[in-house]
Amino acid sequence: MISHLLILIKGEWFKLRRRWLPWILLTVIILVSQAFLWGFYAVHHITEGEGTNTFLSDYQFTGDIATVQVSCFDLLNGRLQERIQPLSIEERLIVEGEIAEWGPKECSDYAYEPEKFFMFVLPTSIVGSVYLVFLTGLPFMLIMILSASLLGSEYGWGTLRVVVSRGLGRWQLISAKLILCVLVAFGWLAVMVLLNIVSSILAGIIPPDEGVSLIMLPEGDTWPSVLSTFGKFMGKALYATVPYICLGTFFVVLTQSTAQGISLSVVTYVAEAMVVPALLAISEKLERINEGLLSSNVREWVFLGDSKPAVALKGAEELDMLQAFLVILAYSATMLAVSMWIFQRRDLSGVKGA
Amino acid sequence: MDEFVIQTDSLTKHYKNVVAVDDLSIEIRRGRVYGLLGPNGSGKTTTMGMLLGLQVPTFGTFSLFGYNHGHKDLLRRAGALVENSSFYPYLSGYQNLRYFQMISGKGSEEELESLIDRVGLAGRGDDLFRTYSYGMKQRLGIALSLLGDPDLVFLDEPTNGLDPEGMIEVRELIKSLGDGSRTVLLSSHLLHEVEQVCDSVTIISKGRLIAQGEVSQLIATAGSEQIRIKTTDNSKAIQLLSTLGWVEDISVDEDSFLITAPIERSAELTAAFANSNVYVSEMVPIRKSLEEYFLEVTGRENERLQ
Repeated sequence: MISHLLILIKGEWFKLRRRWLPWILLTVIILVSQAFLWGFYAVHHITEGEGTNTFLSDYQFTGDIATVQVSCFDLLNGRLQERIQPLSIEERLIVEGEIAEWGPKECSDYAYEPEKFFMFVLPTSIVGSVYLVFLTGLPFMLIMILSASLLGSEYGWGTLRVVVSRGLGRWQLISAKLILCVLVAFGWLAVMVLLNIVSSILAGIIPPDEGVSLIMLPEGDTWPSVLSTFGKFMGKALYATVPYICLGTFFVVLTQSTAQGISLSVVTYVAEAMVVPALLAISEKLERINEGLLSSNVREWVFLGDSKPAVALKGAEELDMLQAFLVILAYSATMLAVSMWIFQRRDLSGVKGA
Repeated sequence: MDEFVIQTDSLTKHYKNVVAVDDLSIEIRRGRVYGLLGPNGSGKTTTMGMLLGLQVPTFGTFSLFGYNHGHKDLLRRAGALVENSSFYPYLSGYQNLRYFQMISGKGSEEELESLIDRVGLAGRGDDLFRTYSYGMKQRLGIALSLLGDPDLVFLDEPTNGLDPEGMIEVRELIKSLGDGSRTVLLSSHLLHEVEQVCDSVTIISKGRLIAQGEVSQLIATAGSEQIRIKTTDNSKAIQLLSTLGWVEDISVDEDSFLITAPIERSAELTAAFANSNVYVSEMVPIRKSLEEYFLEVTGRENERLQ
């Protein structure tokens, strides 16, 4: 049975690699990933390593007009006095008082901000931009499109009848497609990582930057801990794609159409990830429902409960990972089971028109 | 060896309020070209679809190669062309066959080349499927149904879209497929095609079995056949024939006459003429065609249903 499944996966790959779609999707995801990496590179060079996070903007006092800007970078690098120099003594005291009160809290995450160069310096850069790509949700959308197209086009071309009439089990067929989607997602991750390594080497070479070398471990990190974090992230990211693969497949089996399958998947994704949480936030009583949403749990599962990549990749406090794992599993298993059930029982009619 | 390759028992398929196949019980023996004949919408494709696992029967059972379980494995001994020939448009004809060969796990690359040649697609195997004409698509579908040298071949309207020359080629091909132990189930609404190609036939109409058996037997059982006779003395011959109880409907036609009588009794006829010094100069049996038989039986069925 396993060998039969492997043959089917091989056959699916034989077809898929000859289509434009997977290569277009791969190009999109690579472009976004590289845009993040080179974006950080550009920001680092434009801001001369100071970062962009200004937590105190325009302190403007009437009377003696003086405007100052103080950033976390200033605060953390002892440049506060230098920044507020134009102010009068009284004004300086006010600013110093305010900063002493809430500045450290505001700048706790920003402790990593000046280290943005880690996003294009090895080893953090290996998955730094991949993390950000996942943060946008793009890979989930793309993998849904791929999984929906993989099965939906078979309905459209009428080839599903031909395949099934050759004695290939229906559930094996769906399984082969789903497994191939997971493998493709893994391929995307692998290609993004490889290109990140190449780009990081390039970024380290051109132009030479004082204080930034080709390979720099973040303070307090060791190679084993960094690699373990990366491995964990990759595994989690891959696992997080599974429910979206199942979602795309589910809607295609339901509608027997690529276009409708993709549309419904994307609408569901957007609604579930954005609209529903927004509505639920209106009432505190409904907050628990939010905990059961796929998108909330995927966010928690992949993003280590934090949206700041530098923090997350350093290993922020993990939230309830087991719950997130189980919710993702439950969504995947339910959608897969329903898809299989429908697919197994439904008659296969002719060409649906692709 | 299993005697019956396909057996269905009260096979029935309902689509909401429509009965596509109604209590169909057929038996198809190994090693022949078997026709599934019926007008459009009679349930031929649905029947094939159920046998191929594409449609789930509402009632009834069927067996393939004598087994009514392990359907998927049994289907791997079969090849099929169902309705329109459907393939992956972005793959070439050769790549399409290669894919199906890969997932079937049988056959060689040399087989693909020879199959492409056999169905008349030599030189076009590397072209994308989407560039094929309808007839070429149909030919590729036939090639697929023969992939892996299957024991049972399902062909649903295989000559659809072919030019006359292509039709003749494909019919010859189908006839040759039935040689040996391979069984071919050919579904068609073209009566002359079935008559030319098939050894046996099942006629269905409105999802119901109307008749089944060998083509020649069915025609024979449909009633007496006509014989055109020319003798040295036609008037004396007609007089003589009127005394024979098994001769019916004598009609004179210029220098010959037409009688309705069993063709097997031709020898008795010539003997009777000779005994009366009437000699036969021409005796031509005029067989009833399958088309006439089909119209007769389906007409009877329609009257019965009304």
